[in-house]
Amino acid sequence: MSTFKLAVRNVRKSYKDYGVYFLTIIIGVAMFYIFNSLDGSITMMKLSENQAMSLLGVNRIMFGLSMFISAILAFLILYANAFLILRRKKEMGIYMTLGMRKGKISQILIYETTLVGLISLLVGLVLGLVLSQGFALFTAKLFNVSMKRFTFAFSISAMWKSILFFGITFVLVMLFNTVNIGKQKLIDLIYADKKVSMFLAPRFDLSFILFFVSLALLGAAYAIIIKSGILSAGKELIASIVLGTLGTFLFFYSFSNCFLKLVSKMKSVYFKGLNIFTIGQLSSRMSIEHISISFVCLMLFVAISAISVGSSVSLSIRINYGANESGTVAAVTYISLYIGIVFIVACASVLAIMQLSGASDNRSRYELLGKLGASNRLLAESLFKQVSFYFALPLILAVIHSIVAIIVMSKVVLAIGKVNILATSFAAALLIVAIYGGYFLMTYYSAKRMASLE
Amino acid sequence: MQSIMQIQNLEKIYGSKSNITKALNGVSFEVFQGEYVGVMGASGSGKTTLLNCVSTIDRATSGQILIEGSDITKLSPSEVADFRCRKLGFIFQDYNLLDTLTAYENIALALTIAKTNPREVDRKVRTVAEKLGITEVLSKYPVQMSGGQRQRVASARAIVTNPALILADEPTGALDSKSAKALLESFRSMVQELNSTILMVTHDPFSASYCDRILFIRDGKLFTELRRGDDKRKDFFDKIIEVMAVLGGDTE
Repeated sequence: MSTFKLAVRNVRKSYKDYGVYFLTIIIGVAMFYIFNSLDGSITMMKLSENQAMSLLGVNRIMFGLSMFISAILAFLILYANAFLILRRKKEMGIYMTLGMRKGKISQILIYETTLVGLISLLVGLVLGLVLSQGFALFTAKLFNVSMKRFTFAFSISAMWKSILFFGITFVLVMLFNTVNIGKQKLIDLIYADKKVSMFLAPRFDLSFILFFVSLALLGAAYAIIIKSGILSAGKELIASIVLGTLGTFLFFYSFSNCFLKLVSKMKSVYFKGLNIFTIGQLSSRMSIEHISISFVCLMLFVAISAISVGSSVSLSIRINYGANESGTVAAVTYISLYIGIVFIVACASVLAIMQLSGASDNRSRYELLGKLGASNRLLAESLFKQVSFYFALPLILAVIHSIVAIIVMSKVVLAIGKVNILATSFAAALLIVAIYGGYFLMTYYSAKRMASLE
Repeated sequence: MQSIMQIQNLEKIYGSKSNITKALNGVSFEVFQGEYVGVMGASGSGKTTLLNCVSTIDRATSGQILIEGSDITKLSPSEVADFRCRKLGFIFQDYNLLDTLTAYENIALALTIAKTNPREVDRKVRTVAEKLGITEVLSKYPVQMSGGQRQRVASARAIVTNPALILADEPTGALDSKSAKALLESFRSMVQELNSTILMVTHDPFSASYCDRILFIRDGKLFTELRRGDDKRKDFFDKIIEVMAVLGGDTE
């Protein structure tokens, strides 16, 4: 089989298993295009010269922000790629035992990345193009102008920027993979799946104490910021952020052990169905991935507060200052939506990839449980609990963080104008639930299929 | 003696029309309560297929497998899961313990899958652990145990639900000779003290010499049967070697 054919087949297979990952790249491309496409929609609107200037200004701000967002997306793609490669060690070992040179294997991976890159870029751009029409309408509404007869908004510069940026990211992925393959030894590749995971949950440790310390840190962080408020705060704000971040990391570090111990004391829950297995799975994952989960939680917090606070700030500016500040309103709205959506997508896909990357280990576990007499329904139920818990835990803490942030920010918003931050927060919540929930369902069904429970 | 399992004229055919392989070609035998039965045969003889059919992992083409009177070849998928956790215990060559769980949890899981009353789980796990001498490793994870300990934990998992039949597939295959001996002796005590019934597939004459009776399978048929009777283990071992020589080929 030619290298290219092999690459095509591999990509087709991973499209099935890692649909979530590909979806994330596509959404990333689409978002990137949309938020850089303002210059394309200007011609569609009956804007005054002033308005056009301020809109172009907003577009420049968005491009600056895009640099930051792209760094995050690039990191996400590299992270996901590293996970996917890890899972394919054995496959590469087989290629090598069959006499394939490392150069050839790198070539396969380069073909794969190129294919994935081209397809997701194309689909992402098309999606972006479609959605940017709605975005143009939304912008027109923000500026309170009507559209000239319907024309198709298209920004060539946004397209080139997307292609350039994602092109660079995929070249980085190729470099990473080539270097990575060069370093691998055949023996490690062949026995990659035989390696016993060295996870051992300590039975007697400080986790309960650490858990309470983390709660105390979080409580202190909340209290400081609520008391001092955001406008007057300097040192207090920094103290609150530091304490809150520390508290979050400590929370996820200690949580799984506390939870494990607590539930194992409740015999009627613990000794029911597959609960022992479900909890074992969760705590082993959490103990390895607590740092990633903490990052996810913090990013979700930024996303939720960006969307809810951003939308209410822009709404209150609009109500109180009217069309004069359309540029500011647009900037605030777009920045918060851009950051919010990209962060949520990034978080959800990190969680999804972490869940799915363990699927091959899990498959043998589910097979064994099946032999021991667990029905497929029982196994699917356990899987559902695992995925739900995994998605819910960082979200819950992030929501609590955000509630505090919203309380603090509502004073600022009230200072600008009378806008009910709760109403806009509710709209933000709907958006978040839709994206995050969608990822959750996709992850569950992919995991179920990979464990062959269908 | 009460009959636990009756196999009648079991056939398993792989392939279709032009390319037929008869993995099992009319096997019939009976296993009684408290018996320790070994199944021997060369690779390709059909012994693994037999085990897979009995364990409902594979479906027989024709024939009957009656376990405690009911025919398991006619079970629906949901009944199969129920049957496995209530009537069967499994011991695999490579232990197959869940690496994310302690020994205690691995054993308890077999009980909770079989919907045992939560209040009885702890007592049952500790009782069986004591009988198999693994009380001190109960809080350890599989990676922290020796091969012999792991296999005894796996045995404990197999018998804790008090199954009608324990199926062991080359249980000593991955063990050194000392741990193998210890395991085989604990199998004997499971049979003698707990009145368990064991069907063990093996190619190793030493492991087989611990059984009460050995079924030799060749080309999908029952070739012969050897009973230990009152023989010493060493004498029984010699007889097994003799049959293996007659059986021809390498026995695996």
